[in-house]
Amino acid sequence: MQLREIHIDGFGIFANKRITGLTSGINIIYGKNEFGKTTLLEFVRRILFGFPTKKEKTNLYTPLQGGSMGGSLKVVLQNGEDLIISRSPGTHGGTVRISTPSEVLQGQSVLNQLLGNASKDIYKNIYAFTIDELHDFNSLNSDEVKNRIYGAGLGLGNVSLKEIETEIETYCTQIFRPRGSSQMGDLLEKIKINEQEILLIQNNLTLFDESQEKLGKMLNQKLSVQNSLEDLESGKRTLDTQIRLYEDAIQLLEAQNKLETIEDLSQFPENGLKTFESIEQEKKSLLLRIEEEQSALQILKNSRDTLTISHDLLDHEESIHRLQQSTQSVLSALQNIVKVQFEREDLDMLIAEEIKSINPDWDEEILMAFDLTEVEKDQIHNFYDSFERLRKEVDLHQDRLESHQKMKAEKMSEGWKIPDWLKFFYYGLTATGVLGLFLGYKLMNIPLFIVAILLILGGVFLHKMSLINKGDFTKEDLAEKNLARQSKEKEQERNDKFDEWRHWLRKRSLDPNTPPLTTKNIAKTSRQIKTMIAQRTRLDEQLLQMETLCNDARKIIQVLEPLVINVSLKYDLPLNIEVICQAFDESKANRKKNSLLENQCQSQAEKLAHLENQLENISKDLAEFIRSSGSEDSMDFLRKQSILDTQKSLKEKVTQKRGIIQSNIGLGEHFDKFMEVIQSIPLEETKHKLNHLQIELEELHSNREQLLQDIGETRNEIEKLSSNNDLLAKQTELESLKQQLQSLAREWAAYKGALVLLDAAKQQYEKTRQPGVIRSAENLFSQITGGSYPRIIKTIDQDEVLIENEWHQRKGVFEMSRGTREQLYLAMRFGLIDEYETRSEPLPAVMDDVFVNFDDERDANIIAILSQFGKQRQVIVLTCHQRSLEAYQNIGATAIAV
Amino acid sequence: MTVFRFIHCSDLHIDSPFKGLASQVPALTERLRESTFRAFYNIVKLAVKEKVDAVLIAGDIFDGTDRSLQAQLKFRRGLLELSEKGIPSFIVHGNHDPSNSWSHTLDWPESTTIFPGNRVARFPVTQDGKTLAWVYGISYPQREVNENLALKFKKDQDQGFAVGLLHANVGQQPGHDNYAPCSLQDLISSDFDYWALGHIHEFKVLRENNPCVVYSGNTQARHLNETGPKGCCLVTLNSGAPANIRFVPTDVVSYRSAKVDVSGTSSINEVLQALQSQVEELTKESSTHEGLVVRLVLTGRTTIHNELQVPGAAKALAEEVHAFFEGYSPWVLVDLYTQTAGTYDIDSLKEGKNFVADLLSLCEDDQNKQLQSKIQEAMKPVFEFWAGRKYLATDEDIEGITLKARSLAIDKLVNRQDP
Repeated sequence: MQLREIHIDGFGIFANKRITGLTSGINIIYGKNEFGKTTLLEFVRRILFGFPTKKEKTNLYTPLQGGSMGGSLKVVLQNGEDLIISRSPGTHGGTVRISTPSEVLQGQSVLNQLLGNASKDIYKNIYAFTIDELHDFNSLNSDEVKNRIYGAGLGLGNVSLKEIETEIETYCTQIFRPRGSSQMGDLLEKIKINEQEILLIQNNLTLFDESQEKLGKMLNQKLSVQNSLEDLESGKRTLDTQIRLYEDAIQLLEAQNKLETIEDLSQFPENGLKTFESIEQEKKSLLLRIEEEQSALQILKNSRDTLTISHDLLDHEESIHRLQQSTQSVLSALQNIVKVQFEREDLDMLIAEEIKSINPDWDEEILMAFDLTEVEKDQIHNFYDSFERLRKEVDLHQDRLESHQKMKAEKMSEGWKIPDWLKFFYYGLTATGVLGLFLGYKLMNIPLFIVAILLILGGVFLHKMSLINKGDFTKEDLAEKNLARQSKEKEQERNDKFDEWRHWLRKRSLDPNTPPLTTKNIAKTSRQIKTMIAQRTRLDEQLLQMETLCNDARKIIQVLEPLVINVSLKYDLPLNIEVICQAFDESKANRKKNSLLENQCQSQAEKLAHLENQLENISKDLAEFIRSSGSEDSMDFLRKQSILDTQKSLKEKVTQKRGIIQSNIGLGEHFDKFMEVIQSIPLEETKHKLNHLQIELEELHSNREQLLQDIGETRNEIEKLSSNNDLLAKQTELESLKQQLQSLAREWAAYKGALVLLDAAKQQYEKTRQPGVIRSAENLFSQITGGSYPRIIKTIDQDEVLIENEWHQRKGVFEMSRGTREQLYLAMRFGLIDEYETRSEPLPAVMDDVFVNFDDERDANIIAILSQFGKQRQVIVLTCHQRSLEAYQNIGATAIAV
Repeated sequence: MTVFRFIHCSDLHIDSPFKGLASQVPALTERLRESTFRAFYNIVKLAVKEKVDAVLIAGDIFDGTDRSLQAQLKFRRGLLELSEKGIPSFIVHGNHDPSNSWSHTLDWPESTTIFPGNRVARFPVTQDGKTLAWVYGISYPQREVNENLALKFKKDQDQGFAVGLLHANVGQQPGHDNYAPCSLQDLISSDFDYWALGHIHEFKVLRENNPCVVYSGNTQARHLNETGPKGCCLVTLNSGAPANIRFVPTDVVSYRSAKVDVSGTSSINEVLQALQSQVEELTKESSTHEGLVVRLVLTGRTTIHNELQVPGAAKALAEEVHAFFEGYSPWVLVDLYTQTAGTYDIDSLKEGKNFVADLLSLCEDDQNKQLQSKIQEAMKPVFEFWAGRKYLATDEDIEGITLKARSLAIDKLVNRQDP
């Protein structure tokens, strides 16, 4: 990279400053003191590598004459690309922009790439420096610079030995550090913890043995406590038994004493009470039964006395029977009597009407006398037939005459009445036909021929129709006359017959105008009326019969009226009959019941007598039994029986109590001894002893409980210890940790060994081979010093630089004159730049009055060297010396005016 | 003709943790822990199945320093089962479980005989009133017994076989503490029929007959170095015929080590496949076991060497392998280490005139010794001054470390050159 223009917006004393015309090779900028040369140098450095922060204690070059801080550099790269690098204030060294013809990029990293990744240090220390910086040895002593000095000659290419060493050192520190955290340190901590845990678990073996021993001791203790407990329990049981059986024993003794004082009743029957009670019971039940039977008798008598019987009524049994039997008949007579009366009246009226219908003058008497014999009936019939036949004959003749007259009229109206002028038409038709026929024949025309025939036939038909005969009626009608006569004769015959009939009727005092059929009906009607009269007579008889029946019943009721309540002729007849019958039936039933009860009373009385007899016998038996027992009476008997019972119960008690005690204590000696103890030791004393024992027992029990608990706990402890399976796991972990530690230690040793090896190799290298930078510097330094110092020696591990003169005498920097020292450092910088640019983008070298301490000869030498140096790169020399300006201009340097 | 059939076993180390394994897979380590007891229980089952006349245990039943109550209880459980089946058991204490490390309150089954520590005692094994054998034995009263106990055995019974039960280092076997040291001749000259020995963790028949001198070895390996078959001896002594000694494996977990060459691999997946196929092969070989603990070391030059060197890479790979073999029979526990190298050519690097060549030259010949002493000096803060140094191995392999250091340095310097 080479600078072409410098634009300062604001930086220190500069504001809006433009420096142009910078070229490849040497550029010289002349200016007096305070002109701003160092400011310019710093500006270039800061545009390329950033502004310092306020924290850095350095000159910030705040614009003193206005203008905003920053500016830009117009540069051209090695590859010919033009760029403008501008920077304005901002974080991280300010905001940098790189403008290429095609784009604008931003960021220090982009710029760094363009700068061949040169660091700020490299640039400041070897490319752009002031006289003070040149003079400062430390500026050449930074790690990076040092490595630059050696890196090229090491044959490691891009590899930085320092980086490798740092990296390995970092590994080593990560793995191990004598103090502070490291992998090995952490592992050691883990191992120690693990060991502690193992020790704790291992102690389980001791604990196990201790617990086992403790358990053995406690089990022995438990056995002895158990024995003591059993003894005490046994004593307690004895005392408990004494107390529990005390009452029984005392009762036994009392019962025994009482038994001794009781009266002797050996003669008293053993089961006397049972017999006594059984007889007594029997007597009682008999008495009870007699009482019951008496009351039953009384009930029977009462029932009998309450029965009511009407003997008067019973005396009328026959009439009541009759009445009872006629009840239905009376009931129906009462219902039918009115109906029959109405029926009779209706019939009577009908008879009268029917008679009047025959003849109003007739009465029943006439009717009864009127009758037609069979002969008369035949006569009527013959009359009727004659009348019929005659009527038909008259009608027939009449009809014939009329039909003849009608036919005559019809004949007269038959046929066509054709006018005369029309007769010429059918003549013409026929003539046309004949002509046609002829023509047809002549012309041999068949259709014409046929039409002609048809015309002829039509003419003939019309003529025929006009000639129908009407001559039959034209002459006089003889038949008509004949028919009229015959009709008249028949009418006469009929009238004669009528006269005969009228005569017949008068003879029998019937209306002469009565037709034969009606006469026949009169006979029929008179017979029907006679039947009706007969029926009326039957109804009359029926009515009479019914009334007789009712009257009979009334008579009987009248007789019974005073005997039965609720009977009166005022009431309805059937009701009376029902009441009477009911009263009668009741009396009759009561009479029967009465006789039954009477019988029952009698048998009950007999039964009672028998029971009383039995009672007497039993009373005798009882008295006999009491006497036989040696008692005076029942009371005495019962008293003696009671004494006997007491004796028996006492004996039972003695047996029971003895049984209870013996079942608890045992027989014979044990029992006797127990009874003795009971009699000799008071209950209170026994209870007192028991209390004492109880307390002792409780204490012992609690001891045992505690012991059992301790045993349980110890057993649990043993179980816990036995089941703890952690030891092996922990030991395994420990082994693993140790192995890891071992591996790490070996790794650390290897890394450490690598560092040792690298160091040894560096020393070796230093001895045998000097780096290219030093060789290049050596050459330059020799030229500057006119061959006074042909060798420079720079150790890797020491900061010191030595120079060797032609007599192989070495000098340290402190032994050199200021000028020589500056010349040495300048030579080394040139060497470094040479070395640097073999791999990276060349950068503009800016030197601020660095030659002031050079003598004339060496100044000339350096100018010659620079002339050579500047051929391959851009060098900007800032000076305040006119002679320098001239000298540089003489070797072709471009003077730049600011 | 008398026949005496018994099981001879030793070094049960019940509940003693397995050593040298950094990996922890909770589900598997649990089973691994049970393995020593399971191996002993296999012996109990074998004894019951074979209806042997006795079970002889030649010491180191558990590790006394562990002070594990659980181990003793488990052991007793096995003995009770033998007792219930009418099989007597005879026990001597060894250097790991001397008399003073046992619980003195634990009651042992009646048919169990524990030999005293102050003298050689003898007890008969009888069957139907007939004495089949006399078992002579002596326990370690404390951990360190340096006298020759074999010389104390004197056969004083003619009836039945004479069997010596002893925990000792016969013929100063290397790799084991030299306790109760004796020579094979000491045992041969004692006129015994069988010497049931304990202490050496490997089945060894020192003499096949007249007398038989046998180490049954331990019953279950507990260290990745213990890779051989582990079990007990089913012995039949027959008057008038040579003894029959049959080794019966009892271990439930097999320990194996293997190197996996990953030269030429270019991805982690390929490495993983190589690991899986190696483990698969080993599981086939250990198919009779319930579990397989395997230490795998990745070797060879590979382009992914740097990836494998990243801290935690080996662990992640081991986890992948565990996941792959989850539910497998036998179950698999992998302890993985890497000893790979980058694909650079050391020889041509040495030829250079640069820093790397200088560095490599330092690891050569005379300079190497100097370098090693420098490295040892640098290791002092951990290995000599640090509080945790007691947990570290005292015999650190300085050569190995130097080699690793060189490898690390070269990795950093050379591999970075590649873009």
